[in-house]
Amino acid sequence: MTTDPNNESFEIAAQRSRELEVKLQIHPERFRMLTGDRPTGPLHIGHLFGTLLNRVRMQELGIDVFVLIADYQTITDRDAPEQIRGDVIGLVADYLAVGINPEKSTIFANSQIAELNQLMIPFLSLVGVAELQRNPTVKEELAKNGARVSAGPS
Amino acid sequence: MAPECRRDLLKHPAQLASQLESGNERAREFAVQTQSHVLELMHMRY
Repeated sequence: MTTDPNNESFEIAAQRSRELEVKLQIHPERFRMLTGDRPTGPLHIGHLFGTLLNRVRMQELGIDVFVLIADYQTITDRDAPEQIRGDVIGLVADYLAVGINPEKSTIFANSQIAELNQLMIPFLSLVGVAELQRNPTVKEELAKNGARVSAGPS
Repeated sequence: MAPECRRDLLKHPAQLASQLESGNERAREFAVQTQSHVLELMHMRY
């Protein structure tokens, strides 16, 4: 009998999540979480149950949470750039409304941190092309736009 | 700090922008520190 590699890798990931959850409960101060969203409009109920409530839970556990507003990532998929400011401020409002506390967590906009650009070369050097092609966002963009997919941030 | 509803928060865009700038400042400090560690690890201190 052969094992389905997808099921196997799902089980491995689920097991890692369970182990991580135990560690988070014991020593939350040892962890830092980076998460975030593209500023493409108001967040919805899918975001709430899919990620936002978990971010608040992590924050309340005492994990150092960084919430990235991925404004640079909209360069390639934005038709009307003049909306960006309103969308970014709207995202801050969404975060505060759901309980992300700026005294405990760090909400920031990608484009405003020049040092992140300086970190991009060493960090990109750690990512293989094959690994990049397995990234769900990149896969989705490749399926949609093929060779026209940008090599920039996704 | 008790969360407020989105609609009320959006009545004060300057405050939201100020919250964002505080976060940007913290993220900037963290990125500077990280960059310093990366250069150290790569022996790129000249």
